[in-house]
This record gives sequence, structure tokens and C-alpha cells, in this order.
Amino acid sequence: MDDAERDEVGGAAEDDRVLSIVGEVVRAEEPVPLSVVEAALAAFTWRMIDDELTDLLEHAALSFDSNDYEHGLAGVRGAIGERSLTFEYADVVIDLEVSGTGTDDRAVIGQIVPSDIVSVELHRPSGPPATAAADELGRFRLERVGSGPIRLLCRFAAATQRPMLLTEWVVI
Amino acid sequence: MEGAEVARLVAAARAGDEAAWKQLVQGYSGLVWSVIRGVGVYGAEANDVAQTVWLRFVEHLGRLREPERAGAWLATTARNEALRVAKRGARMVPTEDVVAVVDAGAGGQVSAEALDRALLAGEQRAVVVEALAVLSEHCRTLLRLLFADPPMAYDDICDVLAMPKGSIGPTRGRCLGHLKAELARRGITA
Repeated sequence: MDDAERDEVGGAAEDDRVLSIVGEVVRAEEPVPLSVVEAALAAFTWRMIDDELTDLLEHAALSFDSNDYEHGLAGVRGAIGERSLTFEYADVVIDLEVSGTGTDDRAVIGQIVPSDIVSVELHRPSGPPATAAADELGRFRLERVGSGPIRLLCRFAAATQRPMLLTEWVVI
Repeated sequence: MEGAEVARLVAAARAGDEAAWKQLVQGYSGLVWSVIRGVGVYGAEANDVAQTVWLRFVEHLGRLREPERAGAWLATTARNEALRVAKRGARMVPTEDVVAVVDAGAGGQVSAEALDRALLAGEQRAVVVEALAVLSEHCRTLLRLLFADPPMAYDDICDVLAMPKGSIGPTRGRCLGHLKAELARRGITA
């Protein structure tokens, strides 16, 4: 057995031992907090809500998040603490600016193109939704939003015959 | 959980079976939480990320392309959302720093005895936690996923980390090399 071979064999045994330590450390971690499990169980209530709407809506996926570019893309971010999010479905683009850094003082300003939306509903994991009317340019504003997961349900003018649009959940 | 069983639970939850949802949460909440912690998100933000993962999962129950691989979907979503939140706080250690440390020749040998002692002493376990914390997020998540409960298939782990299938071995070796060097720097050496 030459040196290289011996290193390899020793290395493999050493790897296994280090790996078993990692396993021990991971297994010794405190369990998932009860509040996290409860929130996960409670998420199921949205299935019923969504199910009632399912024939009437489409899902708009997140296509841009300024957080993803914090370190690289100069000029993407606005003022400090401001975040830009974009959701898209087919030809519809939903742009959001989230400002505020506290736990209950976020403001969500948005614009939807095409602009013939009627209203926007902001959902949070629990509690009633907040609703905002959109102006003729498709702009809307929601104040005093708490931090945590949110999503938007956008309704279009009946004449457009567009389905309602639901954004993905995002943490703000 | 077997893939067929997972697919059955997803279909049942989709149809409104709350007991099936509960089983999915019980089966995978540990995995989701472990991935979020591995990325380095803690406190209220970790709770927010976990909740978002499960809310998205509810939305996707009827849209999963491979329901039997729901665990991989959950781990991937947890990692992506945690990374997004982590970037906001910019608390992640860049990989380059770790590589630089390793290249700087911090090498010492990790003996079986030293590692066995580490197994025993809580103080040294804290050192291991610290050493893990300075690894790249990619390495940390990989090492965690190797201990996922229920166990995760190598192909699924590759998907979660956006790695080519079959590349676990070399990556694992590299990550363990970094970890050994970090342990050596902290005095767990021969």
C-alpha cells in the first residue's frame, strides 16, 4: 500500500467519524418548536378557502425579489428597508414595494398591469384579510401590515372576464 | 415514509383529509426546520419561513409534479425561502472565506481519540456546532440532509441543492474536508 492509498483509506474512516459527529450534533438539536408545528397544522385551513375559489383563480408566481440581489445589483433597491417584489401570471404583472422594518408597520404599495383591477385583498396566515381599492392606474396601498407571510388576491373588473389572481406566499 | 405512502397522503390532504395533513406535518416538520436552521435563520424569522413553506405546500397539494417526492419539494422550498430571508440580514459566511482558511494550511489531523472525546464532551460538541456554522451554506445543508429523518434519497438531496445527480460523493468529501480543517483550527486535532 503506498502513501496515497493509505491516506485515502485513513481519510475515508476519518470522514465517517466526522460524519457521525455531525449526525450526533444534528440529532441533539432541540426539537421543532411547538408553535411552528401548530402553525404548520393550521395552514391546512387555507386548503378549504382556496378550494372554494379554485375554479375562479390563477396563481401568480414570484418572478423577482430585490432581496435576491442585495449584494450585486446596484440601483435595484430603493430607499433603505424597501423591498421590491414582482409576481407574474400570463400577461399580468404585479409589482410591490414593501417598506418599514418593524413588526407591524409595513406598508405595501403596489401596481398591477393591466390596470383594470378592482380590488386587492391581503391575506395573512390568521385574521381577516385587509382590502384596498385600486385606482385607475392599477395602484393600491395597504398600511400597517404586520411582518410575516402574506399573499395577495387580486380581483379584476367583471367585464375583463379575467380570473382572480392569487400570489404565492412571501415573508415580509 | 415510502414514496407511495407520501403520494397517498398528499392526495388525501388534497381531498380534505385533515388527518393526512397532520401525518405530513409530523413527518416533515423536522426536515423543514432543520433546513431553515442549516441556512442560518433563527427566531421569529425562522418561524415565518417555516409557516410560509407549509402555506405554499397547501397551495401546491394539487399541483405537485411528483407527490411521492413531497419531502424534496418541502426541503427545496424551505431552503430557497430561508436563503431569501438570510440575504436580507446578510448573516451568511461567504464560501470563499472558508476556502481561504482551508487553503491557508490550517491542517491538523483529526484523530479517532480526539473525535471520540468530542462525542463525549458537551463543550466540544459546541465547538463542532461552531465549526459547522462557518462552513458554506451548501455544505451545511448537504451534511444535514444526509441525516434527514425520514432519510432522503441522494437524488432528492441533489435536487434540493441544485446539484447534478450523482455528485454527492465528491461534494460530501470536500465539505467534510472543510469541516475537519475547521475542527483542527479549534483544537480538535491529533
